[in-house]
Amino acid sequence: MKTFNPIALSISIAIAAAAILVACSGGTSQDVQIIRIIAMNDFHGNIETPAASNGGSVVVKDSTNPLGFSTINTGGAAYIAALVKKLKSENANNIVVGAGDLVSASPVTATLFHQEPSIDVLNQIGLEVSSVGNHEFDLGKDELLRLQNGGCFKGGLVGTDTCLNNASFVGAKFKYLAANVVDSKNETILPATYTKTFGGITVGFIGLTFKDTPTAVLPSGVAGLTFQDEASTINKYAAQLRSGGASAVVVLIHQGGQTTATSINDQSCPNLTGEIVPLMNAMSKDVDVVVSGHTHQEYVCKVNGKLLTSTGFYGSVLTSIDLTVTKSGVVSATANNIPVINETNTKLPAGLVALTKDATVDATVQMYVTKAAAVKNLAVGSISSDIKRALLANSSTPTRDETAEGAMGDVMADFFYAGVPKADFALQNPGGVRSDLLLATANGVVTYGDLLTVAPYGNDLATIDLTGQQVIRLLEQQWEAANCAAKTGANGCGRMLQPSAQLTYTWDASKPSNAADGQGARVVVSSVKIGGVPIDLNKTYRVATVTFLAQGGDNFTVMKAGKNYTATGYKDIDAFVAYMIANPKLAPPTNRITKLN
Amino acid sequence: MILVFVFGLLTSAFVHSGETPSKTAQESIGAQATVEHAKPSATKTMHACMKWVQMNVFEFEECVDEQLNLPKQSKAERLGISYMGFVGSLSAKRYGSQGSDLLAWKYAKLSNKIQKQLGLKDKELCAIVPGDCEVRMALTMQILKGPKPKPLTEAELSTAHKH
Repeated sequence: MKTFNPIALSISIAIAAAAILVACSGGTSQDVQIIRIIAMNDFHGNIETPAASNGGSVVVKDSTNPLGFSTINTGGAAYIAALVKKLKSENANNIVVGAGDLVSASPVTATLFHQEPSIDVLNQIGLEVSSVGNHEFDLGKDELLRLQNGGCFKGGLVGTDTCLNNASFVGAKFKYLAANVVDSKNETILPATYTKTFGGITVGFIGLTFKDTPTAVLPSGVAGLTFQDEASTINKYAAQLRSGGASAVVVLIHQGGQTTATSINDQSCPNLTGEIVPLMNAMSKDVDVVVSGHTHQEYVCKVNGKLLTSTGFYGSVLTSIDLTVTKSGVVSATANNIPVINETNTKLPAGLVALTKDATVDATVQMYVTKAAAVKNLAVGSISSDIKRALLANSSTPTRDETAEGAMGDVMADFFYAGVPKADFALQNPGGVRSDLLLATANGVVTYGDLLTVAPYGNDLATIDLTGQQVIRLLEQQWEAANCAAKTGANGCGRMLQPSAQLTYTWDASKPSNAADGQGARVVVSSVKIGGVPIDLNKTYRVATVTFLAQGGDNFTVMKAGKNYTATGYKDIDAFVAYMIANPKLAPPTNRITKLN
Repeated sequence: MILVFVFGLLTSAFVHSGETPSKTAQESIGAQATVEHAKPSATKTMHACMKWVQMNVFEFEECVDEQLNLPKQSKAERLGISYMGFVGSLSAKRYGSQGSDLLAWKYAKLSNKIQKQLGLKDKELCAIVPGDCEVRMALTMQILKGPKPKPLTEAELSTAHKH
């Protein structure tokens, strides 16, 4: 049955308009090209269909529904591939692009195999070029370059958790761009730009991430790198592309904004705010289109005469951008955010049809899912009762309370302590405690997959030496201004470090919080004990933690003054497994922190 | 000019008192004054909190609740904040953000309660935050009439990640 296709119609109209333009200008048909750019961002390795309640659904306008809208299920790499094929089939002048965070912070299937499934699937979908995002730097520059160039994961087991296909990993067939990330020689670590020519018309692409990326990732991962100002970088390369013959310039940037739209593809773009807005206004006239990301929001906007798009996250939506371009520039630019409608929908609005999975991509996804299941379902320990995080009391959904001590956080600190040699105590940052272990889940049996939900980041354990005085200062930073501004909860404000059993202390809630850096005085110093012995302010103590905290993450800057920082190379998840094996029927530990007043 | 000033004072006093307005000829003007008082707090909340709407709405909720808990707020200001919380939740719901159903319900209930106390019509309420009022009002009606959404399970929550 032939159905109305608004996209095909819009292309026809654009081609007709372009033909008129050509006729009027006296040029040949080669002078005008209709070019389709298919864009995605923040895929985060969601090769499987995401849950409807977690990025796997969208609200669309629906004139056949009395309410005026419908919610439909979306996403899944095999469906993305199908939509890409469909969009490509409508215009041979096409390119698939990304705006970063395509990997990392992923579901277990991608995490277990060090993002190789994400890259493999994106290769098959036909991605051609993408900017880097902050998550591309989660495991540092070298790991990013491995994902680009191929090779097995350092420290991995070939055929088990890395290089699963013929003992090799080919890397990304698409090009990562990083125009504003330079090394000590002021050279970009990856190409800054990419060009593609369509029937004699060249389109230039600039890829970059937000300049504050170092604040979002491990310092060691970006050591020696400089993240330069976004707008000046864009304008520099846009001018270069123009002078090199590009007729259109598209920016792929891992930075974004947000609107208050209630359905997708609302081109009125209500209340656009966020970091992208001043950037758009600072971009030169050389730039025509900006494909953005990072905020996980969905929008199609016009700002400063340029098209601005973003698709949301997890591959739920693709943007289809149609440019009519002549040698002298872009004549028109339109975009639509198109849902990746999967087959889990039982009912769809009139005019919308579910995609059929791309068989090749589906087979690849299923191969990784099967391999991952075998690993995820491995029983690695047991619990005798629920081990939970501290949770916010009045939150509509169980949400961790970073101002309070929780049993799950304490257990994490305990396995940090057990996982490194010769530490005096251990600490975990509360934001790193991502889930709970629940007795009811599998009758107390804990699997590798369960542990990954608690500790999904693949952090390295680290040690650092602090004096007793510095330990007190570190504890005070829990409630000082920077952390007080960051989190609120049962204990007012701040971030409460989760201690191992070796560190106990009392703090006084009647003393002021939100003190200036260095001015806090809530810890009852005489109560602080390490290994059951009162703290010696002049003694040096070795603290076990993760690299994120040891490098001063979450405003615990005292860590930066520590000595003998050592990244052990031992993964938190491996230490967790070892601890669970050594402690069967684990029970929630008693609190180590006492609150006064 | 003086009359406008006096009227502004009167409407301001009314809005801050939280009294339900009577059905007078000035009703629509009073409603407009309420909307004008609510708008700045909604805008302030938008700038402070919308950046926290990401793959889930938990930090967004924290931010909006902080705004609601600020001292010495008029009902109109609380309406602006809670309605922005609702619009932000709806905005997150459009792409399946975790927790957005339940949070939209929470702020829909709160803003609806204050809306009734202040005697605003749905269209007047919608004007506090510009956008697609047709879809938004339909969603509001559906949410208010529907059951309270179930909180996410621990398993559903376990996929949350740092941005």
